Formats: sequence, structure tokens, C-alpha cells
Amino acid sequence: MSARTRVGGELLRFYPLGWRRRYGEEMRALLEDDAPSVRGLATLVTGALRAHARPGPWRASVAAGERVRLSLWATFACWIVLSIAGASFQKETEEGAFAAVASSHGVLGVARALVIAGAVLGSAAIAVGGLPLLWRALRSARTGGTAVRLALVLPVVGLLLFAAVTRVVLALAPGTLEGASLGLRFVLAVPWWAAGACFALSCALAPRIVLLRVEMPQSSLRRASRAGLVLLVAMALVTAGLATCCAALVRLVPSLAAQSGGPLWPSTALVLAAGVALAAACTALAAVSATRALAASHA
Amino acid sequence: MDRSDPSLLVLASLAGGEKHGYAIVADVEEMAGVRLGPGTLYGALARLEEQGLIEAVAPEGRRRPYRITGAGTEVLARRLTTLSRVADTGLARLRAAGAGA
Repeated sequence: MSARTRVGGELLRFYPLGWRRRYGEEMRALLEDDAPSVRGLATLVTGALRAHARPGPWRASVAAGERVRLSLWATFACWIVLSIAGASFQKETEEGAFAAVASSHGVLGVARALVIAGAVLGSAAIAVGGLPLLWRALRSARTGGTAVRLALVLPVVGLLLFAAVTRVVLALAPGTLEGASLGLRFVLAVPWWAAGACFALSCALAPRIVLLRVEMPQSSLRRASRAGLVLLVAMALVTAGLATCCAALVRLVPSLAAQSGGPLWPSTALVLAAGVALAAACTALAAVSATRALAASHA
Repeated sequence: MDRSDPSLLVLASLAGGEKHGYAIVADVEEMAGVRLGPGTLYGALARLEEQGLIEAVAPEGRRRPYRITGAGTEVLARRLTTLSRVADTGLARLRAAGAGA
């Protein structure tokens, strides 16, 4: 089996579950008959996106209960990815210079308050909707399979790895990275980002494994679906806050916007703009999945 | 023929008899010089199946052949007739423009 066939097989995972049940096996056979070109692999990515955006009759092979679980997971995964944008915002604005500017320009203060309100509201929604599901998963851990037990441990391992790498980076880093060479910045920043990405990935994937393998009460899934809508509002608040902050910073305090945005980023404005784009994409995807979860929970 | 319309290419391929994924890709490449990617092919198959223009037949192992339906044949004939008229008119105008130049 060629490497491209294997990559193609992995890309099939990005298609919706119903699609994979209907067309997955024959697509896999096609990939084995005819190893795809790079362009062919790209059509798998665009095809998966289209299938998510426009579900067809193949969706009928996924029961309403499964649709609720998958849509809930997708909403939560969007929140996790948005949290990366939120964390980078926090990192960019934790300096005293930003606090001083925020106090003199009301709009920056409002933007920050919006992000914080979104973060608090989102955490509350996850607590209300997610904790009962987590509790149920923990209770099922003993009788559930190895996959469930591993999924429950995965985020803890991800957090420990991130904490360990952070500690090492802080121990090796000079007092400030401002004057450090690009090579040193790269060597220190990349492992830290990679560990952060692993942590985020473990937090995003573990709920999918648990939700698809542990029997959950219908009432808990309904509550989680309603909490998903609150989570969506929280994501919209964070996105609005980030966008306002980015626009206001560039317009009102261009000198601060132009400051270095971290070890590798050329400016704070660029970090915030990337965060806005990421947050907006996550909010749009969460809008689709949250509404689908609610609709399926009442089906 | 519109080389950028995978649905039309798939319908034209299935007009020659039922085929599974790889056979459609090979036939379309030979017929139109277009190599359909797996995502494009199955996107088109799913759309056509949803519209009732093709239907799946009993699988041969992991490969599932598809065949064109009556509605699919009608749609294909209509679209090819339109394309043929456009092609004939366009070619005639090109010839006339060439003769006038």
C-alpha cells in the first residue's frame, strides 16, 4: 500500500460518520485500486468539508442519539480550538502596557471584558452540560472498555506533558526572549507550542471517544444540547471581544499593535488578527453543530 | 462536453453500463482526459444518487457498482443535446469568422 493511499485512508476519517458508513469502504477500495495524486488527496479534504456542510440521505444511517453525541462533541471541539485563540489573547494582553492602555481607551477595556465574559459563560455552560456526562463516563470507566479508560486519562497526560515542557522552556529561556536570536526563539517556542497543541488535541478527542462509547441518559444529552447553545453565545462574545480589541488596538494605539507578538510573531496585531480568524471560524462551525445537536436531541 | 462538471462526466460514463469507482475514473479519463479525484468522484456519486439519477447495485466485495436510472438517462440526453447545440453553433461561428478574416 502506497503512502498516499494510507494518507487518503486517514483523510476519510474527516468525512461525517454517516458518509463513511455509506461510502467509506468503497472509497477505501478506490484508494487501493488507484493511489491518489496530491490533487486527489486535496479533493478528499474539500469533499469532507462539503459533506459536513451539506448532509445528504446518507445521514439516515446515523441514529438521532449518535447525531446528538457527535454534534455535541463538535461544539466542544470548537470551544477547545477557540480557547487557543483566547489563550494567545490573554498572553498578548497580560503585560502592564496593555492594562495601562486599556484603562485610557474604554473600547479596549470593553473588548477585554467581552472576552472574559465569554470565557466565564463558556466555562459555566461546560460545567452545566458537560459535568453530568463526565460523571457518567467516570462511573462507567470500570465496566467500559480500555478505549474509554484511555480517553479519560488522555487529557490529564496532555496537561502533564504541557506543564513539563513549559517548565523546561522556562528553565532554559533567558529572562526575556526579546533580544534572543531567531534560532533560540524557534528552539524554545516550537516544542512549547507542540505540547500545547497535544494538550488541546487530547482535550478535543477524548470526549468523542467517551461520547460514542458510553451510554448517556437522554435527559443529560438534552441538557448538554441546551448548554451547547449557551456555549455558542460565549464563543460569539469571545470572537466579538477579540475582533474589537484587534481593530481598536490598530486604530488607537498603533505603537502597541506593532510590538513583537511573541517569540516568532512579528506583531501583536498579527497574533490578534490570527486569533480573530480562528475564533470566527470556530464560532461559525459551532453554530452549525450546536443547532444540529439541539434539533437531533428533540428528534 | 463540460469538462469541469463531474456529475455530467459520471452520468456519461454510466450511460455505457454499470461501473464501480475505479472503472468510472478510468473511463472518464479515457473519454474526457479528466482524472477525477476520489473526493470529487464520490461527491458527484452522492449528489446523483440523492437526485435519483443513478442507483447503487449489489456490491462486488468492497466495490459497489452504480448504474444510471431512467431519470438520469433523460437528464443526460437533455444536457448533452444542449451542449451539442452550443458546440455546433460555436464551431459554425468560428468557421464563419475564419472565412471572413
